[in-house]
Amino acid sequence: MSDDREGRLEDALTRCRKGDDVAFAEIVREHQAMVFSIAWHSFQDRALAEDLAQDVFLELYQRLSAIESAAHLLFWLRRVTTNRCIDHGRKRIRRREQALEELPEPAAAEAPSDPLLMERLRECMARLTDRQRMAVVLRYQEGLGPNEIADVMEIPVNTVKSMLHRTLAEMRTILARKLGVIRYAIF
Amino acid sequence: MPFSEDDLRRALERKDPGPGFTQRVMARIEQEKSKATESKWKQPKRKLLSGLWTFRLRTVLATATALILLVAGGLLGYFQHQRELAREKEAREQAILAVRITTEKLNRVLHRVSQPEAEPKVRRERL
Repeated sequence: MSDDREGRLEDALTRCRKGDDVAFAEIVREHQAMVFSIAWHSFQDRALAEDLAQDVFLELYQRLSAIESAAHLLFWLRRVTTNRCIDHGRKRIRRREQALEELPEPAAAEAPSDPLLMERLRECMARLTDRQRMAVVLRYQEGLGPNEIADVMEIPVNTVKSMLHRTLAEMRTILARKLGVIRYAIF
Repeated sequence: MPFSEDDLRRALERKDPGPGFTQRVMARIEQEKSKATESKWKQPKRKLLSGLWTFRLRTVLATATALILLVAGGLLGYFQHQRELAREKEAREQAILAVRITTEKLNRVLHRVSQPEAEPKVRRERL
C-alpha cells in the first residue's frame, strides 16, 4: 500500500470512527473490488458475491471500533471475507434475492490474454474444495505469500504450502484430462 | 493445456462489483441503523409488557394454586367430619341396642324371680 493511499485510508478510518458515513463510503470504494472478487472467484455467482461483500462491509461498519489501522483493516477484510466464503461454501445456501440481470457484469481491469484458457482455469477452480479455492484466490488474486495466507485462513504455513502445491498439480491434471477429452472429440 | 502462474493471476484478477455497489452498501447500513433504532424504542415497551405479563401470570398462578389448595383442604375436612359423625351415630345406636338387650334380659330374670315357685309334682305311679 502506498504511503499516500495508506494515509488517506487512516484518515478515513479516523473519521469513520467518529461516525462519518462519507468516510466509510470511501473505505468501501477502496476495498470493494478485493472483497467482491474473493467472493466472486469462490462461487462464480454475481448475486451471491454481491450479497457476501455487502455482509462483510456491514460487519465492518458494526466493528469499526476494533479496527486499529489501514493495514489491520485490509487483513480484517480478507479474513472475514475468506471465512464467510468458506462457511457459505459449506452450507451451500442458494440466495438469489436479486435477479442476475439487474446487476452489472463484473468488470475486469484488463482483458485476459487467452479467453479459453481463462475459462478452463475458472472451471478447474470450481472443482476445488472451498479451502483449496480460497488458498489459490488469496495467492493469485491477492498476491499473498504462504505466511500471510496462513494468517488469514488460520492454518499452519506448511499446510498452506502443501495445499497450494497439491492444488496446482490437481488443476493441471484436470486441465490435461479436459484437453484429452477435447482431442478425443476432435480426432 | 499447461498454464503458468501468470495465467492463474490473470484468470483471478480483481473484478469491480460495478457502479452503485457503495450506494447499495450504504443503503443497507442505513436500513440496519433504522432497524436498530426501531428495536431500541420497542425494547423497553416489550420489556415492560413482558414484565407485567410475567407478574400477572405469576399472581394468577399463585392465586389459583392457593384457591385449589383451600378448596381441597375444606373438602377433606368436611368429609372427615362427616365420617366421624357417622361413626358416632353408629356407636350410639350400638350402645342403645346393647342397653335395650340388657334391659330385656334383666326384665326376664326379674319376672322369673318374682313368680312363686310351683310345688313339685309327685308322680304317682300305679303299681
